[in-house]
Amino acid sequence: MLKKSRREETYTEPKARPISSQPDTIIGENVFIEGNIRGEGNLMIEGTVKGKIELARHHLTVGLNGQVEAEIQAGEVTVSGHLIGNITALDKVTITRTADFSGEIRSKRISVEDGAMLKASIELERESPVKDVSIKRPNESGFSTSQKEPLSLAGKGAKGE
Amino acid sequence: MRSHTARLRESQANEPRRSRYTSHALRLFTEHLENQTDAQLLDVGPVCGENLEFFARRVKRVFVCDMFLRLDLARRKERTQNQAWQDLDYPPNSFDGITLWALFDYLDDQGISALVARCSYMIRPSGILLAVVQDEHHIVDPGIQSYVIAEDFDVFRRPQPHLSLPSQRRHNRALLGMVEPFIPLKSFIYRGGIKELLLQHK
Repeated sequence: MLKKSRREETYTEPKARPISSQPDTIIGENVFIEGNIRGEGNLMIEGTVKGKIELARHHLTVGLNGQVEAEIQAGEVTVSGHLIGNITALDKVTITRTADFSGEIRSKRISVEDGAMLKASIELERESPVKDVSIKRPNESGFSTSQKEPLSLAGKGAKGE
Repeated sequence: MRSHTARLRESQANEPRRSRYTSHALRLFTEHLENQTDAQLLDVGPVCGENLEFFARRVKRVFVCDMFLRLDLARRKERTQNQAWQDLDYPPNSFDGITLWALFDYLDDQGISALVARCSYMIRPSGILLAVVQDEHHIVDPGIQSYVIAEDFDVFRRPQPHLSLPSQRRHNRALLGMVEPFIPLKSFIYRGGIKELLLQHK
């Protein structure tokens, strides 16, 4: 067996353990719950839930038939059904094409499929530094980008590529 | 689990290269937003995960209210457009920027008036609208497409077969006459008749 080089050993990064979405508990289509839900496992909701849901580092799935009005805190959240409320996720929020979601999302990552019905606000971890560049009106000088003299709309217009 | 980059590469691989372009308006719009403190952006659709993530990494908060879906729903249920516009119920001076990907192309004159009035109410002073419209002479209508942001401000189009709205092509001057109280800052024209407009609130 070949021996690992020092370089390989030095630069091996520990991989973050993904949160499994396999549900430990399913709230069925004909179940209605009003109140708080707190758990240490993955949960799928196909029924109706109103209240607050806390799943710490676990996965919450609002299934295709799920009707949820709740404040949600979880590791990851997948929405395929109807959800009104605010989501705070440690990692990722996934909104599928069948979802009807209204509320706020705070998470590290997000995935939204085309076709999802959304009225939402989204806050993710930001990455880029603030730059000192501004858009000037056509009659102002100092257009400060690498753009090749784009013309103002009042004039002839500019050609893209 | 596939990463955002992997999904982006996959979707781009299926996209004809010729329909991609580097968006100058997007770059300027983004720089404007990044230059604001705690900037807030509104995207009125079509909902596109790549775009939401792109902006959410760069501004304080991204709001999304897909008007394409709402207008389509109103049309299918034979309701008036007024009900759809009521969903744009954000407080005044909420946003530093609003993206109007292709929406002007699917609104009649009354719809544009309603949209511009809402945008004027919701946008902050000196806030910017980014609008993309199809040139009136390019009459090929492949249906509603989203404008998907890729790397380095490249943009490509992706069909949205679940949406159906009648398209409305109009002359540039006609459109600009309808967007008061916004004034044109920049415009860019690309192959295929794609036009980008940056409009600033007076």
